[in-house]
Amino acid sequence: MNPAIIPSLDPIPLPAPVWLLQVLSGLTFVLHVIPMNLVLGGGILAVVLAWLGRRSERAEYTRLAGHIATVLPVAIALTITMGVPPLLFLQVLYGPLFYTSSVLMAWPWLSVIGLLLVGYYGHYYFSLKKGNEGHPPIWVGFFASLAFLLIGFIYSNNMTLMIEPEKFGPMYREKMHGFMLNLGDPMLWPRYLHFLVGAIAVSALLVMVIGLVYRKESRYSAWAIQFGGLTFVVTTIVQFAVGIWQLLALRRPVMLLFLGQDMAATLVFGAAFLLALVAMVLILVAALGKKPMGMTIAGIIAIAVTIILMTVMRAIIRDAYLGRNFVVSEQQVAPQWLVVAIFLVLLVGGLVLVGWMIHAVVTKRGLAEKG
Amino acid sequence: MNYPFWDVPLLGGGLVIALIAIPHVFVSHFAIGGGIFLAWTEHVALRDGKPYLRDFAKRNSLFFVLITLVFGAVTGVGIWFSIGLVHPPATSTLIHNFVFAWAIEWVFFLVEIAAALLYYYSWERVDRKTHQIIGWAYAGAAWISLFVINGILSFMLTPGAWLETGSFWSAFFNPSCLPSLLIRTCVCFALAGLYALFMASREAPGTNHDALVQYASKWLLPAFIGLPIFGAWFIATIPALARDMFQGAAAPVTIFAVMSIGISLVIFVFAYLIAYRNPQSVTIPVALIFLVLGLSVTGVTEWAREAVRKPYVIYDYMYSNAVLKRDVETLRGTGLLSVAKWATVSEVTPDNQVEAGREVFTLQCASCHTVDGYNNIRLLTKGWSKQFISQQIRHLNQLKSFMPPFAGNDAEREALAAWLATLNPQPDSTAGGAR
Repeated sequence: MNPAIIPSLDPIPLPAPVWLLQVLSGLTFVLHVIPMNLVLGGGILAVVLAWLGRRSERAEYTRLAGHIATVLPVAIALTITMGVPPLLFLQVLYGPLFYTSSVLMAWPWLSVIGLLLVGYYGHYYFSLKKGNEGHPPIWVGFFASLAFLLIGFIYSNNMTLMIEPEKFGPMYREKMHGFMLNLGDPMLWPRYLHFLVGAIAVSALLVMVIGLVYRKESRYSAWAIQFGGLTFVVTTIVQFAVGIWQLLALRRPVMLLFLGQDMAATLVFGAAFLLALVAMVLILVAALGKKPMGMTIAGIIAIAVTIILMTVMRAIIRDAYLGRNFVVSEQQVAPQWLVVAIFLVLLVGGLVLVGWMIHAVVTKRGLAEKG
Repeated sequence: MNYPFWDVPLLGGGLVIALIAIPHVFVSHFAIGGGIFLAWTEHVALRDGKPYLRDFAKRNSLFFVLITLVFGAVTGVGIWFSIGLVHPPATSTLIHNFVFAWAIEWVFFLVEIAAALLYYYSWERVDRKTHQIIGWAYAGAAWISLFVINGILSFMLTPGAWLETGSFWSAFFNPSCLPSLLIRTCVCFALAGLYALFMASREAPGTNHDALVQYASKWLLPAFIGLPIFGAWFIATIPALARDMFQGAAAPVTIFAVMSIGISLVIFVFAYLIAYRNPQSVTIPVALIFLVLGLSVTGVTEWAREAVRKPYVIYDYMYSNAVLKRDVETLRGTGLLSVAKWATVSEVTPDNQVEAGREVFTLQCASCHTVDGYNNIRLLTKGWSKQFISQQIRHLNQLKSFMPPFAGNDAEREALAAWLATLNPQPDSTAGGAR
C-alpha cells in the first residue's frame, strides 16, 4: 500500500473535545438520515405507485402516491437542515481527509447543489401539481427521484474515498481535473445499495403511518398498511443480503472486528442485526394482523434504534480504515465552553419553539380562541 | 500547499464561488427582509383593518417559500461546498474558529425553516395572533442567523484582536461586525421592498395595486438613510489598504464600488419618482427592472467586498494563496516545493525548472490566476522577459499591494519566471522563437 498523503491538521485547535463533536455528529447524522430515507425511498415509491395507478386505473395507488408526495417537500427541507450539522462536525473533525476527497471529485461533488435544486423543485411540483384525472406528473417525479439517487451515489463515493487516504496521492497525480470518483472501490456499491434499500424500507414504514392516519377509511387504510408492511418485509430481506455483501466487502481486518475480534463492535453489529429481524417480525404481524397500531410503532422504534447502531458501526468502520493514518482523537483541543453552552441552550429553546408552533398548527390550537 | 488544488479552467475557483454566492446573497437577504415584510404587513393589515394587505401577504407566501427555503437554503449549502473545494485551508480556519457559531446559526436556520413552512401552511388553520407569532418567529430567526453569519464574514476582513488573542469572542465581535450587520439589515429591507414591488406589480390595476406599490416602495427608505451612514462607518473600520483599494488603488474595485453606489442611487431615485409618486406606472416589466438592478448592485457590492480583502483571504493571517503570513519568511529559506504535499517535484533542478515553475504557479498563483481565462496570467505577462518576470515576482507585494509576497526560495522564483516566460515565447529569447 502507498504511504498516504494527508494534509496537516489545522494549526487552530478543536473548539470542543473530540467525544462531544463525535456525539453531536452522530446524533445529527441520525436525524439527517431518517428524513433522507423518506426523500430517497419515498420519491421512488411515489413514482412507482403513481405509474402503477395510471396503468391499472386503481385509484388507491394514485392516492397513496399523492399522500407520499405531500411529505416529500417537508422531508427535503428537513434532510437539508439536518444535514448541515453532521457536515459541519465532519469538517472540523476530519477536515484534512474530507476536503481532499472532495477536491478529487470536485465537479461531481459540486453538482450535488444543482441536483438538489432539480430534485427539490421537482418534488415540489410533483406534490403540488395535479394533471388530468388527478394523476401527478410522473416524469417530473421520476427526474427528481433520479436527482436524489445521484446525490446519494456521489455521497457514497466521497464518504468511502475519504477513509482511504492511501488513494489520494495516486489519484491526484494521475489526473487533477476533479472528476475522480471512487468507482473501483469494493465498498462503494454495497454501501450505496445498503442506503438505497434501507431508504425504501423506511419509506414503507411511512406508508404504514399514512394507513394509520387514514384509519377512518378502513379499506384504504388496511390496504396501505398491508402494502407498506409487505414492502418493508421484502426490502428488509433484500437488505440482509446487501448487508452481508457490505460486510464481506470490507477489508478483512475491519470485517473481523465485527465478527468477534472487537467485543464492542461485535455487540453493536449483533444488536443491529437482531433488531432488524425483530422489526421485520413486528411489521409482518402489523401488516397481517387486526390491530396494526402498536406493532407498527414498535417496529418503527426498532428500526430507529437499528439506524443509531448502524451509525455507530459506520464510525467504527471509518476509524478502523483510517488506522494510524489519521487518529481523530489525537488533535489539539481548546474548548470554547461558553459558546458550546450557548449553542446547547439555544438548541433546546429552538426545539421548544418549533415544537410549540407545530403543535399549534397541527391541533389548530393557538394562543387565542379560534378567531 | 497542504491541500490538493482544484483546477477550474478559464473561470478559476473564485468565480465558481461568486457564481453561487451572489444569487445566494441576493435571495438570502431578501428572505430575511421578506420575513420581516410578511410579519409586519400582516400586523398592519390587522391593526389598520386593511384586508387587502393580508390577502397580499397570504397570496405571495408560497412563492416566497419556494424562493427562500429552496433556492436560498440550497445555494447557502452550495457556498459551503464551493469554498471547501476552492479554499480548504481558509474554510478549515473558519470552521475551527466558528464551528459552534455555525451550529448556533443552524439552530436559527432550523427555526426559520420550520416557521416559514408553518406560516405558509397555517394562514387559515390557526387564530391570527398565533399566525402572527409564527411570522415573527420566522423573521426573528432569519435575522439572528444573519447576525451570526455576519460575524463570521466580517471576521475575514477585520479579524482584529483575534490575531493576538485567538479568542472566539474577539473574532466574532470584530471591528467591522456591527457596521456590516447594519448595512446588511438595510439591504434586507430594500430587497424585500423590491420584491414586494414586483409582487404588487402583478396585481390588477386599481387602487389596491397603487396602494401596494406605494407601500412596497417605502421599504427602501431605511436603506436610503442607513446605507450612506453605515457605509461610511464600515469604511472607517476596515484596513487602510482595503480603504485605498476602494479609493483608487485598484481600479476595478473602485469602479465596482462606484457602480454599487451609483446603481443604489438609481434604484432609490426611481423608487421615489416612479413607484412612490406614480404607482400606477409600475407594471411587471418595470418591477423586473428594479429587481435586476437589485441583483446587479448585490453582485458588484459583494464582488468589491471580497476584492478589497486581497492580498488576504483572512486579513493579516492567511494570504489568498493559503500561505500563512507568519510562514512567508520560513518559506523563503526552505523553499515551498519541499513542504508542498501534492507537488510532483520537491526541488528545482536544472532539468525540471519549467515543470517546477508550473508547480510553483499552482501553489502560489492559481488561487487567483488562471492561465487563459479569468485574471489571465498569459496576457498579464505578455511581452515580459524571464528576467523581468523574476524581478517583478521579487517585489510582487510592493508593485501591487493587493498581491501577496512571493513565498519561496530564489530557485523557485526563477523556475516560476521560466515557466511564465514559456507562455509567451519571444522571438529573441528562445531558439524556436515562433510567434
